[in-house]
Amino acid sequence: MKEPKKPFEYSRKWSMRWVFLTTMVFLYAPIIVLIVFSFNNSRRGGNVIWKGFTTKYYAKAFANEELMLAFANSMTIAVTSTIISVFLGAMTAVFLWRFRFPFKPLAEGLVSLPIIIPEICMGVSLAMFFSQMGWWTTGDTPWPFNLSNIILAHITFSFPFAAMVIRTRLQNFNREMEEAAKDLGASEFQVFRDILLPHMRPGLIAAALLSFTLSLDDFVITFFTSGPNTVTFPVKIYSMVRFSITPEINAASTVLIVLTLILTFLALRYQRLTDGPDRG
Amino acid sequence: MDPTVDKLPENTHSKTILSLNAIGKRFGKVTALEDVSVDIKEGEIFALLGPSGCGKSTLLRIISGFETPSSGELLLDGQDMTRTAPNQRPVNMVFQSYAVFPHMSVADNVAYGLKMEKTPKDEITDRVNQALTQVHLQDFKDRMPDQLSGGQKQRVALARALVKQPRVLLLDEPLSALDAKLRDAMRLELVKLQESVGVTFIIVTHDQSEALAMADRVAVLESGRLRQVDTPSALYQKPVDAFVADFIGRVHTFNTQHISLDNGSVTALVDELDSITLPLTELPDGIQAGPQPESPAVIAFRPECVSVQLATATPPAPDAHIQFNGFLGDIAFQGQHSIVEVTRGDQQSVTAVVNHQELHTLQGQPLGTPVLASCAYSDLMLLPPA
Ligand SMILES: Nc1ncnc2c1ncn2[C@@H]1O[C@H](COP(=O)(O)OP(=O)(O)O)[C@@H](O)[C@H]1O
Ligand SMILES: [Mg+2]
Repeated sequence: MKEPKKPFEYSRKWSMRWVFLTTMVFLYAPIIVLIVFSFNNSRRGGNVIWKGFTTKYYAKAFANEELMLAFANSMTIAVTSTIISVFLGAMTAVFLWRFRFPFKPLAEGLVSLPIIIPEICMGVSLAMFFSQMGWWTTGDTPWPFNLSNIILAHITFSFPFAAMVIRTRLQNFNREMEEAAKDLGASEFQVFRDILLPHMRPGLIAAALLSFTLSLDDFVITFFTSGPNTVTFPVKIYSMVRFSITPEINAASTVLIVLTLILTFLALRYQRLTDGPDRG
Repeated sequence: MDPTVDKLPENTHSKTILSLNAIGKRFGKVTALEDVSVDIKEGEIFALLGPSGCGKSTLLRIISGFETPSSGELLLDGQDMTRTAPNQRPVNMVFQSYAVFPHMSVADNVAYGLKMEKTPKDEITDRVNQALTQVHLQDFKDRMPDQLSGGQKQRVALARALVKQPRVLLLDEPLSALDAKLRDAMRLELVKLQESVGVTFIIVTHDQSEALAMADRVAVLESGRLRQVDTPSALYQKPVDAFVADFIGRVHTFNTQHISLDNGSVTALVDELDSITLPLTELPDGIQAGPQPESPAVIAFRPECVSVQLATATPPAPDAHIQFNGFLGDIAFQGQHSIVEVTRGDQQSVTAVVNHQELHTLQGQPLGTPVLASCAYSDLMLLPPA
């Protein structure tokens, strides 16, 4: 016999199942199609006819020097801007959490402002800022220094996210922990190194992951701050798509997806290992 | 009562280890502590007792160095420590939340303080093992804190502080977070632990039964002021005022109207009662003879001193007992003794703690049976107002 529905058993309502299913399809179908057709033995990536399995477009993508340079650029930018963003974010978070000073709410607001400013505005303003200040890297700046504009731009939009994530983590730090360490003889620095930093670690990892992903797939701001010699992966793919859609693009995108997935998986795993429930 | 008489047994606790001299602390407009002076003796369990918000934690934090007093000084072994940083004081604390470091194993938690002192590795291992054995956690060395119960975390916090061999160990509400059964066991265990390590303990608590059961001496704090510092029995038998009397156990109080002292005998005219001859030869501190002011001295007695009998039985000698005619109220059986309520119409009812024999004559009587409650003059206390 069928049991009557309980108030929150949404999964047993057909309408709910449909909503769920459609959401999943819209979210993941394009990605799955993209991955599947990266193995399609056809000259056109947008071709919906399956012509047999091949990995030759991966080989082709890896052999494409411009694409590989774009990839190396993206990785360099992502790694550098992540390290700096997390460092700055952590400093900001600790500062905002630890100290009281005049106009603190204003400072907090300003820190998170880049999160809500439209990306296009950020892109334009950064481009103007760099050219006004004469910080525009020229064609003959040696690699990787020619990426410094983009790296700076990426830091400006990812560090507020880092600061926010770390700040949230600090919020549930038990201040008695810090006093207990001092009581046992620790100096300010030792408290930071031995107690506060381990507590912040999951926040730091989450912040790093977030910054890395934001940087890796940023298009708008990068587009405005990149020059002809400083093409990043998303910008390169965009220009390739404008030319023609080939399975090579599918292959390159699949590599990007897999890379992001692996990183996320590792970060989550690491977080679970180190971050036991923190009940003070 | 003479405050200079030392009620401690002669054998131990004679040397002063920690002196608080006129300590005061203000937080902005709030005065948390005012003129607190007390000497804590080496090897004793000293309890800071008082209602919530009276400044107990603040005093403990001043001793540990997390707060600096606004006035007064703090001497440890005769050395001024008022402004010494917390990590430089030979004093350790067990925090109310235990504050066990969640990312370190039990052994690492306990070893932390020794590492900060740069103790040699071998010595750290030995001392950590010894400390863990003292708190019965030797088998939990490699556990992480999230695998421990609340009681076990507290033991880690204890071991972590004791392993530093502090001159004074501070415990902030050490039992308040434990469940009732564990609390009673832990009370006893803390006392035993203190006996075996011999370190001076200062325990903060708002629970008077806890303070009386564990401490050698108790300081009663109220609104940042020390009301009385004494042994548990002296606090119970000779409270300095009505606040302490009521905070340590229960008392019935009656306002006096007039007090006279002649020929070494004190008589008081009391509300609701007649003139009473008190078991005193002189007036206690803070009480004036003559008509009483707006907040008058009070006559106080404890429920334990009240006896209850049927109104039909022979009453006790009227010139040596205060007597209340009333009616039998609820009886709460408590094992060793029972608590009997005597209602008196719209006047305040009188509670009596009675033994088995007394209970026997009252049991089976219907509610409202006329009874007589009485208390001997010799059990009365004359106290300044709260
Ligand atoms: N850091 C502080 N800032 C402002 N007021 C405080 C601070 N710490 C304690 N107080 C005030 O001092 C008084 C005593 O507090 P506390 O010592 O914590 O009391 P207890 O531990 O006896 O409950 C309270 O009125 C409390 O509000
Ligand atoms: Mg407190």
